[in-house]
Amino acid sequence: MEHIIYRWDLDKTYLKTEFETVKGLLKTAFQSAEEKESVPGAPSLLKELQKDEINRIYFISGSPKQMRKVLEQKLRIDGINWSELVLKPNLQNLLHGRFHALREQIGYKLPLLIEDRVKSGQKYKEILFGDDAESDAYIYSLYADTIAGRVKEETVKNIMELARVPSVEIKKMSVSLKHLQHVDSVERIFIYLEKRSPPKGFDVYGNRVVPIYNYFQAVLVLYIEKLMKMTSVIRVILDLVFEHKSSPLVFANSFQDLLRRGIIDRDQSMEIMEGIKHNLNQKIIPLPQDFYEKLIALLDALKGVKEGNSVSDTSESIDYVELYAQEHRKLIKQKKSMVDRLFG
Amino acid sequence: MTIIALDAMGGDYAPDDIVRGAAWISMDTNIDVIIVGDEKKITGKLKELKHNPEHLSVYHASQFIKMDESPKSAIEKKQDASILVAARLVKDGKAEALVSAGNTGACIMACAKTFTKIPGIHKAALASVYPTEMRRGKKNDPFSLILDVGATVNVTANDLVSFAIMGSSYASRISKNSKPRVAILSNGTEEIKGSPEIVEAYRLLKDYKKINFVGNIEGVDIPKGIADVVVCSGFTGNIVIKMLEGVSETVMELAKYAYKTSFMWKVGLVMLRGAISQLKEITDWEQYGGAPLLGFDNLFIKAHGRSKAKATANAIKVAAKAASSGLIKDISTTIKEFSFV
Repeated sequence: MEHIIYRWDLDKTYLKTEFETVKGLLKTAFQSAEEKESVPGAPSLLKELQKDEINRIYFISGSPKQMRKVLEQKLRIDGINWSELVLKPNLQNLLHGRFHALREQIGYKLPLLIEDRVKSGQKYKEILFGDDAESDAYIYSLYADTIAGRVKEETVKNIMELARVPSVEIKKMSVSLKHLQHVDSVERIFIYLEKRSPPKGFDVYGNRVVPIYNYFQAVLVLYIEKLMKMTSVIRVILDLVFEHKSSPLVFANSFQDLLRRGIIDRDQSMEIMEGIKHNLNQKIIPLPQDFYEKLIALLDALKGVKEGNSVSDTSESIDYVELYAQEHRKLIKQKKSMVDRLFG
Repeated sequence: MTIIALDAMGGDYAPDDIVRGAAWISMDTNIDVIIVGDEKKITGKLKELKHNPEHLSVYHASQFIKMDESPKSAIEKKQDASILVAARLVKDGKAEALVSAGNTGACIMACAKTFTKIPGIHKAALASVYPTEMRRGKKNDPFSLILDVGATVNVTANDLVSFAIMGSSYASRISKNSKPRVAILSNGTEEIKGSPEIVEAYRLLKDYKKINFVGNIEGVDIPKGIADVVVCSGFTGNIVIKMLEGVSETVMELAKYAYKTSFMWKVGLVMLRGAISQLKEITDWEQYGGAPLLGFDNLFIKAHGRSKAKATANAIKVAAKAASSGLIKDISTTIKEFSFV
């Protein structure tokens, strides 16, 4: 059994967070742990991931360190055991006049991820979870290709400079980079489409990045990759049914979406369908009869769906410097529209 | 939760704008849409759009009927045409209503081939909406309904009565107008005016209290909005609706001409631009989305052939609203009651 580290972003990936409006920002800052809401299915998926104790759960969040107590309490309420929860030193950034660093994510997350990789002994395979709100697909892909040795140290430093990361931080990261053993360890990068961004926008990162609309889709992909058992898939389904009132159609449509986008192929889809049907047939799970029948009928109807073209593997040819410029333009546009929404 | 089967391949801007309309719906509402058509093209388009796949599915159809194809031969030859496949999904209970912006003749024939007529109804009627001076219902709706606009040529008095019942039922549900005023289009308002079928239909409707029958109206009364539902044969209705469209286009052309011809007229139009754009918005057919084909045991909403994303999304909303309102059941019951009367 391989050791795996699951790295999770927190806001918008695990927690429902709104920081696009003043009201949302204030709500996030003053919410108690009990008031904070998780993204449907995220806690149940994490609970399945943490079942194997040799694996690590590592959270990295752009939330300020002052929120540690509330966030830890929230994770405890959800029954999550984590190895590390890294928060952003925003007060320190503010006191040092590093206003740019308050919003900047690349210069914050990448050095920390590399540092933790070196610290954790580099024996782990990695599965990463982020969202489409900021630059998670970019940061995670750059991280994956850096630790695999596909991106040169100079390029990483160049990007850090473009991100206006202080030179002392870049030097610190260079030390970590020197200790890095180049292993192609990142298996998957899941991007939760909280903003429902068009999935095509992520094709540039190749098939390692999987845009998902819900955590049912994530658990199916993990099952296909033999990282989850069918019982885990069923438990995530049950959580979504009982806690979030997901209908059979939501599952069938989400399944079909994966098939059409070529993320799972026909044989894999048949395997999943048979697995779900077999487990549901045992009737151990207390699903309402009509729900059960509807789901089975909808899954059977999917047999006619054609498998879509999958995204090709482009990890060898990603131009991260050019992509940084694109990401930067996107972020400026986002910030502008956020300011418009806040004060407009 | 209402499921709508959407013909993605029908319409001047299909499939791109039709798929875009479905994507909007998936983000803004709880309506579930089955997008029927070329799976590869639809998925390719969806990948470029913000959407929520939890409310969308794609059903493959290998063929489609072009806007200028002969409906009869196309329906006969293309058994896997998207409109037929979508109609079958509705017939089989996989969806509750059908929406298409495609070839009108082919749509009507697909429905006639797939759906069953409501007992007591001999001819189905295609409705259309048009903007009027008057507002109606809780929603201050400027649109009136006219039927039939092309599904029939010759009609009997009973057909006109069934059109009145169906139109009234539809208007009361969609425009939230509890007692829509129903009129027969004739060449005079008097009871004795019109063809023998019209005179007979007048006689049958005037004593039927379940419908707010206001008598005959003339062509000039249509844009005034004297009636909320106007009943006529498909032959007449088609001429009327095309003329209304023609007049509206001519007015716009005249305004453009005036803008170019005289500086003073240009100034006048600029000063009126607020009111003109408001008027344009109120009378924008895209707001309404589509109109129904009534008379079958399943619901079909025909969107305009020039429908883009907004009109498609609105047509889906109308279809969902009509499907969840119990329209078909109400029409069946009223037709049955009328037969006994």
